[in-house]
Amino acid sequence: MKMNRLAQWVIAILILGFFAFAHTFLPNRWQHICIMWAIWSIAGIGWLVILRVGEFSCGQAAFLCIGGYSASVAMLKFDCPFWLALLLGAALCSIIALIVGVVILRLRGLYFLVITFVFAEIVRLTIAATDYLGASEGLWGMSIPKNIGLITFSTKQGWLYLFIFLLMITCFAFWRVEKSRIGRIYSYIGTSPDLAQSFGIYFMKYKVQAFVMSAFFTGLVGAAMAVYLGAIGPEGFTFYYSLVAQIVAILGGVGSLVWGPLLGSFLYTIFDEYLVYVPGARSLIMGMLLISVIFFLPEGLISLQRKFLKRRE
Amino acid sequence: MTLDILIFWIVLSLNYVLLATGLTLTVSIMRIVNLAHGNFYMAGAYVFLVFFYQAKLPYGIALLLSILCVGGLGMLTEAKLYRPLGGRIEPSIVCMSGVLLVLEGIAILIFGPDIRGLPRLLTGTITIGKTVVNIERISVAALALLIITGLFYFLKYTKLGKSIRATAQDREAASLMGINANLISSLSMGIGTALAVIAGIQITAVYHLSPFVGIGALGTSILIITLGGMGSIIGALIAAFIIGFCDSFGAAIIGRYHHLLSFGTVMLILLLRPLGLLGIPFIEVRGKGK
Repeated sequence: MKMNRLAQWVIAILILGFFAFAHTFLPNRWQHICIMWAIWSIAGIGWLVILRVGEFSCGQAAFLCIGGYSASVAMLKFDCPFWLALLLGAALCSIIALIVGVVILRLRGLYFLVITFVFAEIVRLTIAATDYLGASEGLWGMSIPKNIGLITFSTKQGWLYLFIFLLMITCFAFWRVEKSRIGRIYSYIGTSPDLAQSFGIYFMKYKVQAFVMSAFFTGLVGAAMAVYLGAIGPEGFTFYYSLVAQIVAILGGVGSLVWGPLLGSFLYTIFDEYLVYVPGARSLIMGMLLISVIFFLPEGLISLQRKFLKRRE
Repeated sequence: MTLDILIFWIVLSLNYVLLATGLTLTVSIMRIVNLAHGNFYMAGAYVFLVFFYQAKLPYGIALLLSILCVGGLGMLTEAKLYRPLGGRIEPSIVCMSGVLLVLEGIAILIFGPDIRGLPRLLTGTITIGKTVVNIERISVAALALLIITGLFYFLKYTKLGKSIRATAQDREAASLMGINANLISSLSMGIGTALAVIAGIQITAVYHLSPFVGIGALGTSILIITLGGMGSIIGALIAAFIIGFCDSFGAAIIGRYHHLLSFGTVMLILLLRPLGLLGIPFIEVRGKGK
């Protein structure tokens, strides 16, 4: 996506500034929307990095779930401090992604897609069958982290800061990846795998790398989300959550690793928050949005700005 | 005890066969997993509910009408939504996720998110040796057997079935031989959806029906077709019995973790045979027809 570099920096700083003061003037509900925006943006970016290496994952909910559960267990059963639990969740996610990834990344195309779907379902069903993890009732009562200076976690202020910090790290990491040699290798593998292989690029290494990276950040945000919401249960992590990660990326546009999901999740969270009172309307509207985006705006909403600029010239 | 599980295994596996053949048939023609398959299964059961309770039609006619309605919907979806995308994996999968969400949303809006029961075709039990078996489970299994035999006969000996197999083998060559490949695509999607509807009405009558049962059904059928090899009906048949074995004997031995066992089995077989037991290598269509 050709966006002016200056414009990118301006938007990034505007978002940061907005988050820094959001707790002073936004109503509570909109602060929640901001936090959910950050969460889904990270999940969407995580999904998109797997798409970059040419694989279509349908199991991002598994990583959110593993991250959330491991952080909750660490805090509830082992009295871990919040920050350690956060890292633990992300680390466990990466380890599981490494083990599973080495096997399932050998599969390509459709087989990878369906296996990630099945993987997410199996993780959910296994957790729902384990009494130690609260079975189908889930876990709750994670203590909120201690205050850091003036930042309090009893109001939404601390959470806003935490999630914008996580979002910032994620965006920065993936922005660096996209611009670096690794990012170019990823898109070679994604667009023409045979050519990449003929150049002597060892597929598996980069694919597993991207998979683990995606799992790390998704697990991190999953852990933070579980503690933020205060409860976690297996019903939350159905296929719908995996779909959300791809919905936000596709609505926004898969052309740019960072800006697409940021834009898409903004739209998604607002819909999500206001349609929650009509059961079913959320799925219906999301489904119709997805179909219409695929048919009328295959490059996502972010391609609108380019069309707009072109028309003005 | 062992006889119990043996009967349960066979009945469960035949249910799985009914679930998975529809999906594997559409995969063989379209080269894409229809993610909305599970929700067509759910939609079929709800449409049947309307015809049976609201319109008070007899069981057989209600069944036939719901197969026609939802099968037609499936054909329409294939013709209007999937085909224009040219068989590329990514956009088609997104489009199917959209269809999945739309079907789920409509079901929740009209019928509410509650769990319901469906009328049962037969009630009562029969006793084999010392085990007591619900007759409806047997009837589901018998129906599955009947439908599978019918499907095999249709695919093997009729002209239409032969042209479906030809299209599955090589779409372009089949078109050159004068087969209307687009029609065959729609038709196979229609048959696949119709099989899903039959499975939905039969299986949700034994278990329960809610707008969310589609995902579970999709998960099971995907596991089966991946193990059996995508697009292979005989593979799906064998795989259904393997997964059924994990879910019956496995559940009897290791309890609630039998899902892990079936997943582990599939992973192991995929490690040795990346295309599943009897998979046909697909020609991947990527970035074409844009």
